Amino acid sequence: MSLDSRLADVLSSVLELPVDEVGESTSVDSVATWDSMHGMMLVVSLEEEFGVQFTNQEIFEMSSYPIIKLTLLEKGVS
Amino acid sequence: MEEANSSLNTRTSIIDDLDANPTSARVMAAAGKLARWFDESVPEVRIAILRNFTAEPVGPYLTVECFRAGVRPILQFGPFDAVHEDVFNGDSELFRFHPDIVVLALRLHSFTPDLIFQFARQTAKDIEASIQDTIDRISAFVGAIRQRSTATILVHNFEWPDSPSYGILDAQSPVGQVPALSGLNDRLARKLSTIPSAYIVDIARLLAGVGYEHGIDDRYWHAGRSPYAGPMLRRLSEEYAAFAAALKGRNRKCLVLDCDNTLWGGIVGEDGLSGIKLGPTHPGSAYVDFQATVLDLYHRGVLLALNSKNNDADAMSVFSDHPHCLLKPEHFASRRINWQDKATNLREIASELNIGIDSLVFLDDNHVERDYVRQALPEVLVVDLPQEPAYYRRTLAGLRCFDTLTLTDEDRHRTMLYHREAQRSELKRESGGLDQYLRSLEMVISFGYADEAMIPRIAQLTQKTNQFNVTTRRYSEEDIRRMAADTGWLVCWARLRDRFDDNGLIAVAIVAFSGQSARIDTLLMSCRVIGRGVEQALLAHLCVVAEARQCSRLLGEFLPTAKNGQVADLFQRSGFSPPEGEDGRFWSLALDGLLPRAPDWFREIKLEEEKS
Repeated sequence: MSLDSRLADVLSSVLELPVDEVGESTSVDSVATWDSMHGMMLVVSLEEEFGVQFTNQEIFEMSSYPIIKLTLLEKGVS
Repeated sequence: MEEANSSLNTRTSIIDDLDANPTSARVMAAAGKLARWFDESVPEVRIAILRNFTAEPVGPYLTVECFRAGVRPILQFGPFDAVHEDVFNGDSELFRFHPDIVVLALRLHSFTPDLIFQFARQTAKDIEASIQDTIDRISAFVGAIRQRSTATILVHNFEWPDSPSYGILDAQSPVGQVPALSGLNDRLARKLSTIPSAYIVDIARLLAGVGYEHGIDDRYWHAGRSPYAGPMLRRLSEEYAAFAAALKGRNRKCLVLDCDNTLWGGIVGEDGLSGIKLGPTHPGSAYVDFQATVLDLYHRGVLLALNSKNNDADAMSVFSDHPHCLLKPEHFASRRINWQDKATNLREIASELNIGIDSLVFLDDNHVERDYVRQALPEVLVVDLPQEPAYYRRTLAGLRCFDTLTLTDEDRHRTMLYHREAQRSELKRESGGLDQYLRSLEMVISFGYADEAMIPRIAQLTQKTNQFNVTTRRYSEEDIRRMAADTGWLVCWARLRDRFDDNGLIAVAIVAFSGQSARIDTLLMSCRVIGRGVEQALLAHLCVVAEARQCSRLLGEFLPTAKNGQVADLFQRSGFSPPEGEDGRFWSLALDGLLPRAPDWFREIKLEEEKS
């Protein structure tokens, strides 16, 4: 599976969104369910799915699909 | 029934699907699906969580674990680190939520930081002061909740640091950190045992099981004040769910065991008594340990039964004659050792013991048998035994489904009571008519009113009795205590002795008095004594009591459930008039008319005490 489809799966499960509604525009501001609890669960879920560990700074900045994708690419996920 | 089963199947398949690959994202997705579920056969449990950290991530795990345990959770999280706002105000969000369970989840990192940070700076006197202050503040919270609600209160105790301040000296140091925190936990437990319906959630033990490295992630703590990682959230949810299930009477009652390769290694019918693996050394020792764990459940009041494809004599020879077999024939309340299918056997065991199919837990090493039972009887909890017999013990010990909120003396000798029941059945076959049989039992029934000693058993009966129960209202010990102390209520119990033994406290009636009416809020009886006329004697007694309190009528209420069909006609049989009018819920009995009478086969009917 591509990075995009794995990422969309995680966001869709955690944020309770249909998978085809997840994309570049998905962010804290555009998704009502994305509150601090869901943000925390998103971090936990992404770490599990991609086998990475985010720094505190990265966790703090994790507010949209493009940022998450960029962070994962920087960590060598492809 | 079919509808309920298909709903059960769907819920089970959501959970099975999750268990196959339980990542956090999938827990969230499964919880979302389950939370939208409504099935009135699954009792609701309202859980409020008061906390000084971000506890919300436990929500999805708790939803899954509650459904797994057979209850449907409604969750509320109190404001962040503001427990006092909720508990000291009777009109707060907390009390308006009408919780069944209130969780007090406090972490010392912000509650009493002196016990966590720069601990080596503290003198013994400082430490003692911090511990006392912690206990005092928690007691004040718990007391305030107790005063304003009958909810069951669950209080987190405190995790130990994995690397305490004094390192290798810590355990023996008079100012050691782990000794200080374990002392705090002991004192908290003692304090809570003086407060009704308040229980410890043993965080220190749960975290020890999960492991600090997997249970706590300091990044989550600093980024979101959310200390626990997935494995700890799951473990914690299982614990909350076990309390919720026990409170709502969803705990299981009977452990049904296969024999060959489950209770011993090998096949007794082929390998013979001396060939099976069971003894003090490998490979038999794993089975001995497993049997010891089974016996531990037996001593807690769990019924044991056998369900095995075997010749009865072959299998039973192990229990009677094998020198290393810890389980003996008398430990089993029922057995089906034969060649018929295991689902049929399970149905028969449930019916022989007079318990619901959903009270059974089935353990079998053979996955084909397990799958068959799962398909045929989705209500039975079928446990996946691991391939490795050395892990059987841990699998069984880890089940939370038998847990109850109280342990009474009756639990401790339950199987014996069932054995006496078997002797009685024999007598029934021997003696002629039913009347004659009942007379031959020489039964003595005594009535009494709830006092402190009886309250745990009464609360337990309201939580566990499903079949002979007209309203199925579940009460905590604290609920019962309040009703017992209220002059507008009467909490009455019945105890039955016969020539075989003392059956203990087997029936409860709770009556609310209002003007000329006495309303039966609860009327229930243990299945063990069905068909002996106890309910008629009890109703007759209630009439006498109601008359003595100048009432003109006794009201009865029947709230149907999937389980209590056998009492649907109880009030009709006892001479009550059917409900009528707009508020047609109550059956009514005029106390100046014909009243129910206690059957004459009781040798004696006694009143143990007057309500003061």
